[in-house]
Amino acid sequence: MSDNLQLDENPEEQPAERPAEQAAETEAEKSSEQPAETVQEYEIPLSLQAVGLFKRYARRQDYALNDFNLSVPTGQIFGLIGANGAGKTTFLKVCSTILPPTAGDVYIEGYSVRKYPNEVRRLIGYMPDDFGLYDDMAVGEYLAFFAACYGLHGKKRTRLVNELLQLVDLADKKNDSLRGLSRGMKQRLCLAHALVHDPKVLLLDEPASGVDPRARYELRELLRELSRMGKTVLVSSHVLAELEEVCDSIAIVQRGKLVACGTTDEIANNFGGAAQRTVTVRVLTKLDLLRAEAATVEFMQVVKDSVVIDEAARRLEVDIMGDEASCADFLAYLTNAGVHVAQFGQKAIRLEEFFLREEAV
Amino acid sequence: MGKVLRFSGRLLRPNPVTVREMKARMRGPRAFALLGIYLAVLGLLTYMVYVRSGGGNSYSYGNPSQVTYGPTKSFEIGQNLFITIFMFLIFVMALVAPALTGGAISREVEGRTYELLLVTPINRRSLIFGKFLSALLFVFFLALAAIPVACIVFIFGGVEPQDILAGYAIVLISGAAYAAIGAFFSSLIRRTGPAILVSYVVVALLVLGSQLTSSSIVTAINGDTNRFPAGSIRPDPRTDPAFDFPKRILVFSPLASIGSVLTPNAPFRPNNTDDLQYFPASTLFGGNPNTYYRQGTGGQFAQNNALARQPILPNGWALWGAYVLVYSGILALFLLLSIAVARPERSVRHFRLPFRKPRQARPTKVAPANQGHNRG
Repeated sequence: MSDNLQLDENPEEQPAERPAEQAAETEAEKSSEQPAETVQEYEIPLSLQAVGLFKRYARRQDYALNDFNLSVPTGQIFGLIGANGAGKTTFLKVCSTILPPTAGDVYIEGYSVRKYPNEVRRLIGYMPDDFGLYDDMAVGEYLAFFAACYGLHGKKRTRLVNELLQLVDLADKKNDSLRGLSRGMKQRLCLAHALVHDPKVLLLDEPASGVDPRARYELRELLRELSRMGKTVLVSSHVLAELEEVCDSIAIVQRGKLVACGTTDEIANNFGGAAQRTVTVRVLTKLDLLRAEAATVEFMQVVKDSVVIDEAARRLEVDIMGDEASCADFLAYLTNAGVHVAQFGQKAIRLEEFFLREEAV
Repeated sequence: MGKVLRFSGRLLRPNPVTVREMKARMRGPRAFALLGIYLAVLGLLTYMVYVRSGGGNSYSYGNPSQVTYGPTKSFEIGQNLFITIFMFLIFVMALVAPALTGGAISREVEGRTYELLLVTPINRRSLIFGKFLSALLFVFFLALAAIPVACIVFIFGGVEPQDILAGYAIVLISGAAYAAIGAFFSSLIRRTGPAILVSYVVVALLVLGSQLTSSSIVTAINGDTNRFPAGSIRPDPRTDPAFDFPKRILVFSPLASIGSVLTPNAPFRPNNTDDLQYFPASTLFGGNPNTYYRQGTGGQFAQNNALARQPILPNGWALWGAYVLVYSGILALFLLLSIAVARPERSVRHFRLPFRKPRQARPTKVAPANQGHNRG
C-alpha cells in the first residue's frame, strides 16, 4: 500500500525506472481492439525481467551480455541453456546483485537490481555454480549461520533449519561435519542455504553439474516441489537433456544473447526449420533397404555422410536438415521410390547441436 | 521510539560473521595451546628481565642515593618489567593481528564462499567489520590475558596504575590498526598468503621503520648519535632544535611510545643540566625507547623539571597520546579502504568510497509485460 502511495508522490521517477512497464502499457493501448487473448498475455505476472541488459567485464572488449532481454513468469521453472562462456553465469550474477550491469537493468519482482540491491537480495536465493562450504562447521550450523545473516534468530531459526534439512533430505546429517558430505549432498545443502529466507525467486547456476544420475533425479524432484510451493526457479545448464523434463520453459543463450525462448516444443517448431533431425526407417526386405539407400542419397535435405545402415535389422538412420515437413517429404520420397516402409520415426530433435554449430560459425 | 528500540536491538545483536569466526577460531585445542604458549613465554621473559635487573639481590634496605641498591633499584626493576611486558605485547599484536585478518576476504574468495555471503543482507561493510571485530576480540583477549603478569610491576613500584592503562591503550590501538592493515591487504590482494606477507612488511615498517628513520636523520645531522657532543663541534641532539623533527617521527613508533609512558613529557628539549643528567645517553635519539624512562629517579626529578622543558609535539602532547591519536587515524583509514576495495568486481571505474549513500525513494512495482518480450 505504501508502495503505491510513494509511487504517486514520485511521478517523475517512474519513466526512468519502468521502461518495460511503459512499453507494455503502450502496446496494450494500441492493441485494445485486438482479440482478448492478446490482452490476456499482458496479465501474466513476471518474477524476473531483464531489459536491454549489457555486461562488459573490466579490461575486456567483448560483451558477456549483449542486449539481453528475458521475462520469466511467476511460478515457472525456467531453464537457461548455453555452452560454457555463453553468459549464463554472468546473467545470474547480475540478477543476484553480485555484478553490476554495464547497461540495462533486471527487475526481480519489480525491484531494480541497480537501485534496490538490498530489497532484491531478500527476494532471491542464489546457488552459484562453483561454491564452497565452511569445512569447519556442521551441517545444521551452516544453515543457522546463513539464517542469522538474514536476521533470523532463536527458536524460529532452529525450526527453520530443521524444516529445510527435512526438505533436502539431510535431517540425519544435522550434526555431521561438512567435510564428509558427498557432492550431491553439498549441492542439496547449498540449495537449502538459498532457501533460508523463503525467497520468491531461486537462481540456480548449474545445480546438476558433476552429480550422479540419482542425485540429479532427486534435484529434479526438489525443483518440482519448490515450483509447487509457488517459487520461480531460474536454473542454468549447458546440457538441455538435464532440464528438458523439469522446465516449463527454456531459453537458449549464445554469446551473451538470447537466441530462443519458449517451451521445448515451441523452440523446435520455431527454430527447428533449420535444425537437424535424425530419422529412422525400417523396411520390409533387403531389396527395399538398397532402394532406400539409393533414394536417400538423392534426397536433397539429407546431411552428407550421415546415413547409417543396419542390414540385420533392415534399418536405416538418416540425419535430415529441416522441419517436420521435410521429414514428411522424405517419407513420401521413399514411398515414391518404391520402398516398402514398415516403420518411420523421428529419433531426436538435435536443438543443441544446431545451436552449437551456429555458435562455431 | 520504535526506531530507537530497533536500532539498539541491532546494536545488541551480534554480527553473525563475528560469531562464526569466533566459533571457528576457538574450536578445538589450537587457540588454547596458543594462549598457553604465549603466557609461558611472557612469564619466562619477565622472569629473565627480573633476574637480569638484579632482582635477586636484597634491595629493600639500603641507601636511597645508591642507584644499584635500595628502593631506587626496585623502581628500576619495575620500570624494566613494564617496558619488557608491553613491548612483548606490541610484538605479539604485530605478529598475530595481520595473520588473523589477512584471510578476511581472501579466504572467502579462495574458499568460494564470498558470493554466497554477498547475496545475503550481510553487505561488504558488515562482512569486513564482522571479520575485523572477531580478530580484534581475539587479540584483545590475548592482551588482557597478560594483565596478571603486567601487574607484577606493582610489587616493585616505579610504575603507576595509569601507566599500565596507557600501556594497554597503546597495545590495543596497535592491535586494532594492524588488524585493519591485514583486512585491507586481504581485500586488495585476494590471496591469503601474499596478503599476510605484505601486511607483515607494512607493520614491520611501522614498528621498526619509524625508529630507523628517526635515528638515520639524527645521524645525518649529527654525524654520530652515540657520543656526547665534543665541545661545539657537533650539535647536541638533546638540546638542539634541529633534532625536533626526528623526535616527532617517533609518533609512529609503538616502542618509543611505550617508553614515553614513563616520561610523561617526552619528547622534549631538555633545558637545564638536571635533565641532561637524567637523560645522559644520546641513544634517546637513536630510537631506543628505554631512554624515555626515568632511570632510577622514581619520578621526583622529572616532575621538578617539567616546566623547564620545551614540548616539541603540538599542545605539549605526550608521545604516547599522539601515538594513540595517529593510530586511530590509521585504523579508520585502512578499514574504510578495505571496504572500498572489497567489491566482487573491481576496476578504477567502480572504485567508490564506502560512505553511506543518501536514502532513495521506495521502489515501484513494474507491471507485468508481454511474455513475447523475450527476444535476443
